[in-house]
Amino acid sequence: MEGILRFARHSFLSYKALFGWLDPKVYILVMVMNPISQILFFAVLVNYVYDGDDLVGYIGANALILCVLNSVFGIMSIITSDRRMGTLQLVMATPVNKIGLFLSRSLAHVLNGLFTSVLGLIFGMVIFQITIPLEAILPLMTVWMVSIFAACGLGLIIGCFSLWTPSMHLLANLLASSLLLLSGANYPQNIMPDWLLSFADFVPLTKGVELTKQLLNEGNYSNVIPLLSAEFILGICYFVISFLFLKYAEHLSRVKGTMDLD
Amino acid sequence: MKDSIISVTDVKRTYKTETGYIKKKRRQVDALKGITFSVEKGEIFGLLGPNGAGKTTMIKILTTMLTPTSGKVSILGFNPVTEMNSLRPHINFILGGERNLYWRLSAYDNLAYFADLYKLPRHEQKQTIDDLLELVGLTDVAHQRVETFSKGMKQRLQIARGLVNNPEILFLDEPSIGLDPVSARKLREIIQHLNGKGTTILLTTHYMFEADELCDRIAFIDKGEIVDIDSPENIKQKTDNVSIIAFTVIGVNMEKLNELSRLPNVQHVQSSKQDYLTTIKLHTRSPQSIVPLIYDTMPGFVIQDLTITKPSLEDVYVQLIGGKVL
Ligand SMILES: Nc1ncnc2c1ncn2[C@@H]1O[C@H](COP(=O)(O)OP(=O)(O)O)[C@@H](O)[C@H]1O
Ligand SMILES: [Mg+2]
Repeated sequence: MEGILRFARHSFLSYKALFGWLDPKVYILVMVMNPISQILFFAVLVNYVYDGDDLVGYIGANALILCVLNSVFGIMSIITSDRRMGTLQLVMATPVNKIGLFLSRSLAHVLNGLFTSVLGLIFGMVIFQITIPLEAILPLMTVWMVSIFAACGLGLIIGCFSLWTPSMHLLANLLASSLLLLSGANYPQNIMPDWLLSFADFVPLTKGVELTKQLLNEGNYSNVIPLLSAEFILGICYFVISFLFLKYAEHLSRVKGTMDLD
Repeated sequence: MKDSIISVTDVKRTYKTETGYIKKKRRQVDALKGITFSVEKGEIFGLLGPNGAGKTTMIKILTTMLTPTSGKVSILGFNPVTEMNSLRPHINFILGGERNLYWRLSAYDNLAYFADLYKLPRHEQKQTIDDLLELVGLTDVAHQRVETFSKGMKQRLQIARGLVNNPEILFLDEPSIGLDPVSARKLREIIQHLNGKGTTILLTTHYMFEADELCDRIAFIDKGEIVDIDSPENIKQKTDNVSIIAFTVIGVNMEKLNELSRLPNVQHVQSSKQDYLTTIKLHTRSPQSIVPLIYDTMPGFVIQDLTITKPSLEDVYVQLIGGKVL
């Protein structure tokens, strides 16, 4: 119990300390207005291009993609901000288990990402006067949760890179736009060239977007289990890789002295 | 003989750095060149030395953040290289400066955050945090964001942060750097208070008077080597028969200073310039015979405020680091 409470509080306080958008005014500006304008843009575009075909699915998929604010930029902050404030070295020298620590820091961003996506979906539904079936809600949320978790895993790897390179914003923006591109949120997946398609298999959100379209457009639930399991495993792999990077960074700092966590 | 709770034997640390991408330049810095000392339970031990002496490197090794290249370290019976997980709950450390805190969190939340990281039982946390805030005088602002704090308040919060796990040993690296005199004094009071309650303290500083006032023993460290270890009193006594002749003059040059250092029985000459006034200090065992020679050496100079005093710790330090040990 104690462990769970600690995990939850760490998640919340880290979010507040490192992401810094808990101030209501800033939150509304950055975390609400920004995603809403993005979804509006893509929804109008897709509606025009496909003449309203499968609009629900595209709006759902674009809503999911909004999570990159958290799963790329938010997650990065749990390493970059911590280092900038000079607290990363303190945290690393505490007896706490570092894997649990970074997982709990990620949790807030998975939840916040889900919240942003849901907000985007509701907005899209209101503007375009569309509805989704009630029974699709629970599966959709499960799909999104897992997909956002996987995206956060990749975000954490990029966050680790920030320990090596100072030009992080470039990488982060690149990742954010690749996710938008590769996930197929704005066109049918199969129009992508083959090589890109097989690459997209290893990119988070691709399967989430596919499932979102299947659920909302076709009412097809049959692929949820296999695709979602694959997405989940992908997420686990990303997290494992990022922990290896963190361990290596700690080694460089402690043994080699060539990395400054401060 | 009391127990040593820190023992450091022949510790060396080198940093290898590479610069340049195509033509790599390798450089090796010997930050510590064989350091040996031990600290007893309940002591306040000071590492004193100029910038680049290796103080931070030593603190990092002691707090498990860096491994030595060679040598042996034992803290509370643990090896900080291999047994860091057992050691970490028993120690804590404070770094100087205003960073190393979460500015967007309140003072209370900063402490709660680290209390969790040190796995303090939740039912003890509130009491512990309240007590710590009281100790460092931040109770009134407990729920204000740290970004609104003054330097001194931030520094005191750092102290509280360093105490959340009630450490047996507290390491402080240049704790009073950049503090105003009042905050610095408050900090020294807190350190003394903690020590009174049994916490062993190891601090680094380059302020002599701070080491003099606080420390039971001091290790002078310079260029990665220990020059001397002793109590401030003993260190001052080593210069027992030495006096310091101090005076100020206007417009003195290197040549004159060299001339002064060549006077018989002068062991060391220090000078510091402020505006157009230069303060000169001569270390000597026979001040009476030297004073007239000073006037002879410097005809035409207006010599002001000439005093003859016992050496301060700072004078001893200059003498040790200056290379001319007695
Ligand atoms: N990570 C590092 N890489 C290379 N050289 C370093 C590193 N850290 C410290 N040094 C060098 O080691 C020496 C001792 O540094 P430090 O321990 O910080 O001294 P102090 O704290 O006494 O000022 C200095 O010459 C410094 O430049
Ligand atoms: Mg230092």
